[in-house]
Amino acid sequence: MQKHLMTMIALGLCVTLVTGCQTQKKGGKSVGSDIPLSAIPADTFIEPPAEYRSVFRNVLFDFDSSTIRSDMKQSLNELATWLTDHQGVKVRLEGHCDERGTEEYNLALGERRALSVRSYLVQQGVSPQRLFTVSYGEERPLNPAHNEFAWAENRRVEFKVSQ
Amino acid sequence: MRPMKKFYLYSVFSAILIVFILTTQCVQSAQVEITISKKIDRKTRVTLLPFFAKDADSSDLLLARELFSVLNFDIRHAGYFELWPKETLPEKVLERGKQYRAMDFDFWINYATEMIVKGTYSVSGSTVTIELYCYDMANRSTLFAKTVSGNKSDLRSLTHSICGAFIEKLSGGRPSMATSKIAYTVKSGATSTLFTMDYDGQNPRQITFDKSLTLNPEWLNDASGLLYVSYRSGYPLLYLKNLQTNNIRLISDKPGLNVTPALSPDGKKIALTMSFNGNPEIYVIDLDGNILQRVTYDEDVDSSPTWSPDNYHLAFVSDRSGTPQIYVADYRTGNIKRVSYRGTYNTSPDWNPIAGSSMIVYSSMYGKNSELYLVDINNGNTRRLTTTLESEEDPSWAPDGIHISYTLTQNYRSYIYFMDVRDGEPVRLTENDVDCRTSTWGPAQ
Repeated sequence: MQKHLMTMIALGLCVTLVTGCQTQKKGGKSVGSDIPLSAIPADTFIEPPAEYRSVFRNVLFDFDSSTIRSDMKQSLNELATWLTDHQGVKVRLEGHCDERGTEEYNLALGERRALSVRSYLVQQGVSPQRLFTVSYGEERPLNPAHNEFAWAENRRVEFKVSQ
Repeated sequence: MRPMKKFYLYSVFSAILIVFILTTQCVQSAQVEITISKKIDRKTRVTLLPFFAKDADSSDLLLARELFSVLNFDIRHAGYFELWPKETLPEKVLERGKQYRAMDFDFWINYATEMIVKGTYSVSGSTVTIELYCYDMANRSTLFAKTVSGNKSDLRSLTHSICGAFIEKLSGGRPSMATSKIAYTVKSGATSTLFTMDYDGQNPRQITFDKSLTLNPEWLNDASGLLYVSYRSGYPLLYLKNLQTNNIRLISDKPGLNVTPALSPDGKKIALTMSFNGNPEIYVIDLDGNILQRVTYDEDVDSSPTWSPDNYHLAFVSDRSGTPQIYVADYRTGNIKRVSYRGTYNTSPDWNPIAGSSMIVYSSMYGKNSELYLVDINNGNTRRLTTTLESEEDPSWAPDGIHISYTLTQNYRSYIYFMDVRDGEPVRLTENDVDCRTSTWGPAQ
């Protein structure tokens, strides 16, 4: 009888552990998938002009993550303010991954990173109609080296602008 | 008298049984089922004889050598045969193959071979005619005989087609990879280009000429065209190139991603990853780009769909658990179940194309090294297919459901290989100086 009870408790614990693991999510995914992308504009996007370069700083990510890191929020908040002051500017968010992992998955992850930045800017009041995304997956590394330092630089969202 | 009769009955029965075993032995041994256990099927011992000119005056040694090299590759890698004997046959024996139109079975008994394959060729103008014969030693019969003819410039594909017909006959109708091609991308700086090659690595052909990224090739079921993703417009859109007319058609240009296409086995639907609703999700569209169904509804990455042979299920990658894993969705009910549990980075699933198969091959990354795995989705059992220090990823099944092509990366250079998933013996297909990746195996033709 006692053995039976112990088994039950053990089982219960296992179930709790398993469900606990399942519900544990990566943070920062609260922004849902309900902001449709606008039609792709015909305009050409260019590198931000030199005088605004400091506003458009690359957003960096952790491995296999599209969560906006807390150390990236400051510069994104500044960018949101700048975009509110410059209503005519459209922005293309370009998502990239490091070379690890498969090309197909990284295409989706790069897009997910760009969409994550887009959602964050929309939360700060920027119109989603001004924010476009493109993913380059692992195809366009910023730093061609094959080490942790290069990978950290390559997991990024870059900005291109259009008037 | 009674026991005698019984004995007589027994011997008749055994004789019938022996005849039955003998006649079915060769064909039986070619039946293959891919399962999770590492089981190497017994292979039939085949002796290949060189091709000889039907008319001795039109002997062309170079042509004969090329014919033999194609035959040798196709038979060696088909997965059903063991080339026999191990050592090279003496010149005198090879000469003997030449002299006899029919088989001299008694002579070959000493070699313990089970089948003899030999062929002839004849050339008239630019036309070449190839005959291929296979003799079954156990039955002392002709098991296969076929003649093909065509342009001399198509010599290799003619030989592949006759070998393919032979292999298909011996495997009880299972498609052969001998006539198939493999599509792949070649990376050069910030651009990549789509190519196709014969499954033996020969005859590479450039398919796209955009000065941009070209990714995710996917064959039409009759090999008449290729779906692929190109950034020629600046965005990842889905195109279809007709390989006969070279006509290119835009299939899907939704905002955001239009990537990782997978054509259904019935050829009517394309599953792909699109993000126009604000998140990468799996959708199914028709060949005109109209959305037929949305398959996934979660806030995480969903990508890389692959169809089950019955058109009713889709396997795909999702990081809804926190890491990328393989899931299977029922196309009709929308029910989704996870099928990979081992490892923290499982991507690039490809569903075995043979009807009823529950085997999915995928790549699993640990640190910076990726290996190939096989999973049986009925019970979740897995088997690791590669154990090298190099990285192997992006597997794609051959039409025979026995072989897979994949990308092997060594010192930051990538090559296309294939292997028989039963023995894992790697065969390299691409050259040293080209960076090749994301192979997709085309249909048998």
